[in-house]
Amino acid sequence: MRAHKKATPFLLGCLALLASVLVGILYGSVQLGGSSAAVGKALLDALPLLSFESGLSDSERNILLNVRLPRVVLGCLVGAALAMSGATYQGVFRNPLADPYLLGVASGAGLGATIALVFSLPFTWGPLRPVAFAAFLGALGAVALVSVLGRSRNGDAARLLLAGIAIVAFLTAIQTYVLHRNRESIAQVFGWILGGLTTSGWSEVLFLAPYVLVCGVVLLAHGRHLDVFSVGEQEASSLGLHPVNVRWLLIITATLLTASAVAVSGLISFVGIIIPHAMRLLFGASYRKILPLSVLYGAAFLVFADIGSRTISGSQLPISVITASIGAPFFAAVLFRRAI
Amino acid sequence: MSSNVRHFAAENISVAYRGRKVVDNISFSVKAGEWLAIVGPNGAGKSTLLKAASGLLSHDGQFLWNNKPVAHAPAQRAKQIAYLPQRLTLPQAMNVYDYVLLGRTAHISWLGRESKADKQLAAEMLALVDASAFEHRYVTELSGGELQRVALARALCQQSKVLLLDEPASALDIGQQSEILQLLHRLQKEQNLAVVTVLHDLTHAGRYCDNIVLMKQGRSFACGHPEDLLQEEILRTVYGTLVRVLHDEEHGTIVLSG
Repeated sequence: MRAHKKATPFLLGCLALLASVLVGILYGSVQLGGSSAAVGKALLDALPLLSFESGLSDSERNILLNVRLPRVVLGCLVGAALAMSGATYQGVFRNPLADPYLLGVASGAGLGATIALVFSLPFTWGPLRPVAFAAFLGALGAVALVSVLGRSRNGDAARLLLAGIAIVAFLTAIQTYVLHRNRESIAQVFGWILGGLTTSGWSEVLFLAPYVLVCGVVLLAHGRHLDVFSVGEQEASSLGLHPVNVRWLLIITATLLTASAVAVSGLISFVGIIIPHAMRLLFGASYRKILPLSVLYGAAFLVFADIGSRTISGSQLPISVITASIGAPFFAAVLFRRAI
Repeated sequence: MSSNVRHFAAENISVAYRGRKVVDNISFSVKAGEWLAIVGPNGAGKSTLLKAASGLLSHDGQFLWNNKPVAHAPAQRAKQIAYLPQRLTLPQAMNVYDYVLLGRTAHISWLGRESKADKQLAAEMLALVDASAFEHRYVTELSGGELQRVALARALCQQSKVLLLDEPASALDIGQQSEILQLLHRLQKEQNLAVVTVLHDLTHAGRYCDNIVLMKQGRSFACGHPEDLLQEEILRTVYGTLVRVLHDEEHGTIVLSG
């Protein structure tokens, strides 16, 4: 009975993810011919060793396999990445309001990407492309600044948030200055910022997947440490945890994950805060549950948000319009209920 | 100190904040099965000394367990020393049982999880402090006395032989104060623990503790048996106020202010 109860949130999460993926594949601005069974057959046909006659035309098959499917998969990866890193930041900072945006991670990544785009930086670092690499450096710099400036002995939420606001304002000012001096790049940078989940085939998925996999495994393995962190760094240390090592390992991993997601998807707000929060409210405060559930529900949420951005108006809405329209009222409701 | 009795010792401990010495050359020793109280006026450096002993503050001098320096790495240290601060940081929405289980942190490998034995120990420690009845309640919902008992269970789960407690009874009403100190007294004897507590109440120090370190302005003013130290003359010098000390057959030494 207890095992059933424990498994229910995961089961629901899997169902939500499955539903989002199905809807994401089936619905779009172009109606794929035939039934959903035909789409299913086309998908199976794409798998090695399997052969099915789907009845879809070549262009429909192309839309399905090289436009919709990678977009849905990318949505899953970005949603899982943002939700997991949000949960991690909240655990490390012992602050339910910590999220990649409020901590300046996204602004740092945005500034880094802007500089890389404006100055066409040529360097790469391993699999990181220049924009992603610069976004990562910017993100890491921002979170280091915020965590130093917002440090307080008693984990005061207001101090961290004020530090975040100050750093975000500062980074935005630099970004505005850089853009002001290089106006010809504004459209390109703005396009990146609003990028959403626009894909060009599978390249973004192939770029992001290793990061999500490696960082995700690292973060999921540290749920217990985040639970120990919940008694504060000093008590965690006297309980036998090395708080500095764990804190920086998790901050660097979550920042790398956020930066890699932001590098391919632009800035998508609120996922990192509402998903872990909802998990905490619905299923309890242990990070051993919050982290894996954030993967499932974060992925499903972003795929549904992307479906909304594709279908609500005739043209494609930036996905942040959707996530912020859901996230901001949720945030307000949580504040109102004082549930944080 | 006989060499076959295990003991926890501080040797010439000094702690400085921004160049100012807050703890100045303090030494003490406490055997397993004994209780040492650190007493003194506010600002004497008592809590700082305890934090240094728990490894949370850098210091000069060294702490020894069985004549060997106490480990530096948190995991090793936590197996030797358990520490409870004056104000505990309480996690939201964590139940008592999971909270006590945190005491096993030092015994679990980096990527490991709690074993059956860890869970059983947590349950046993909860029973030992008589807190099993509310193991499913959130720690944020407990009364002061209940919380201290649960925190003690967490510390006992570390299975260290040295227990450092910073004012374990200060936030409690008098009924809960006696309850927690009697519990501590019992556990100290049963588990053969070397206990060091910061205490404000000198009557409590006189009743429960085997030895006292009396601190003033970061230094050790005196140390020894309670009946030798809890004297009106000594206390007047340390606290700068008149005190009355009564001796009672049943209750031991009673210290009154004014």
